[in-house]
Amino acid sequence: MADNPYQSVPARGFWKQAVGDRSLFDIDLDWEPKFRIGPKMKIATFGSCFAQHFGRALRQRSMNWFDAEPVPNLVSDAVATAHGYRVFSARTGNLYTTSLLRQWTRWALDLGAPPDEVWTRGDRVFDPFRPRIEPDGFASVAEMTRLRQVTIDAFRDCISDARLFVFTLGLTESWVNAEGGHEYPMCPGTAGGTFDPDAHQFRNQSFDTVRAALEDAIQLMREINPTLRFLLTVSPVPLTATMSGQHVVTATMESKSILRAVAGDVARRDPFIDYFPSYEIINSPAFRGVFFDPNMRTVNARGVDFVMRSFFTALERKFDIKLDGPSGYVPTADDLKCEEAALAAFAEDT
Amino acid sequence: MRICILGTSHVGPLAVAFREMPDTAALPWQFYPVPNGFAGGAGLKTLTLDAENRQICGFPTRAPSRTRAMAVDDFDAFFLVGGQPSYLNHARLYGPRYSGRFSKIALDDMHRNCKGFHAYGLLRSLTDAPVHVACEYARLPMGKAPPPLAPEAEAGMAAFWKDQGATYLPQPAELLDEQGLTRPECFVAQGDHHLKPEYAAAVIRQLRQVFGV
Repeated sequence: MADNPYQSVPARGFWKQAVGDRSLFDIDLDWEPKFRIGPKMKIATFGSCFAQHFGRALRQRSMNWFDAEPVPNLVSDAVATAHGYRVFSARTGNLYTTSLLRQWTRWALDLGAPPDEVWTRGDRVFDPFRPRIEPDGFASVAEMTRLRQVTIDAFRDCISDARLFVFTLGLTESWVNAEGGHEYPMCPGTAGGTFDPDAHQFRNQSFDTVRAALEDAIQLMREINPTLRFLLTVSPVPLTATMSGQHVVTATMESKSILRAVAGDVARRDPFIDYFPSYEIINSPAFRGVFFDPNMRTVNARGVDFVMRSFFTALERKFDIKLDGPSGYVPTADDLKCEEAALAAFAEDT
Repeated sequence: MRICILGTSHVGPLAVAFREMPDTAALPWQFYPVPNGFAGGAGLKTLTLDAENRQICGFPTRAPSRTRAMAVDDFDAFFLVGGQPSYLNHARLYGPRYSGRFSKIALDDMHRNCKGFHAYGLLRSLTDAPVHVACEYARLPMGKAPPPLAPEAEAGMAAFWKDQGATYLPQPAELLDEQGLTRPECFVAQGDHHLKPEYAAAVIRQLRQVFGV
């Protein structure tokens, strides 16, 4: 056989050796971190609901997870997380899209300000940009505005003080205000507010739109913190519902494919941006769907544990470090805060 | 009036102060700390709260050796001190960083998850006698700014304990500085949150005023 370049490809590059001949639990995607991530590195985590696992696992491993909006340690996790504390590094709620990341970044850097819009239910006030952050709403517009500014300031601290910014891309489907152009994390009328077909527009973002927003956000952050590095992941969790008109499976595959392609494209270009394949660990056919719950949407505890174990093992292997903490990461089934899951309530019974 | 002062090691300085006061010998007060270091130094009986069997026992705590050490019915009122989040922890929940509703929920949550609340529940299951409660005395950590809005935290704690059927006793005013914090000289030493007996005497005087004795 003539010499050819594939002869130098290691075993991990061949499906048979890397997947076909192995138990699925022995499949190692062999992630090679681009840069050192050690226990002292200050790490901020944001993004879609799957990103919450990263923050929690970092804490369990005694790594330096950045909690920019802390509450006293004696407050239980149940109460804290129900109010958006200890979920992400600041109390932004889920940032499902790269355009939401850019929107919060612009607010944090004083390049724009949130509009005056408020949502109400009875005498309680809800923040359109994090509608479930206070389960019972705020007492007043003044309280809502004050606490949103606390979070914007904390988000800025994450940009300026963190050394690694972990962001999990979640959705391409988004809702914007037609007049002001600002984006909502949830469609008005689903988690609060009132839907107005003239004011609220659906946008299913293209590859170029998603990439441009992500690149803008990263560039803005690096302007105030040139040492900040990024780790991108893509949420493996399928859409709860789609407004695209497609079947939800088709819409999910298109959406996730775009997000995955953007993450790979952006990470490939810069040495300070890396990609971790949590999406592939859960979604690849090599893993046969075993990491999903029976609803084939939510990721089970074993899946999350496998993802996080893969992450930490790769760090230990690459940098010859030992990270403290439990050998496994076992979340409880209902401990994620996912506003998007609320959309399931609007489905007609069949 | 027969008073039982029950709690953590913070009972110790109160007992010492009580003994050193000139006119307390005839008062039928008893001091019962649950076990820990400071209690032994104060020469007190140590107790353990046996929630499973709804009783208060002496050492050792292993089940076969448990002996009932305190007859609840021998007392007319109780003062429960310590075993709860400190005053500083409460105060940190109040201020511009949290919503009013979250502050209240978090304060309730902190109380309900602490051993002092557990002890109160046990005590309340055994008696309807009045119970007064004080949180742990705590000094400000070095270099930390004082928490804002301490009076709101005090009001929050008072409301919480009122809802539970107990009375919250704030720290005696004579122990506080102008910011509402316990003055540093009141504590035994840097890093030690126990009151010196001469300052613990202020708590005893406060209790005597509350109970009218």
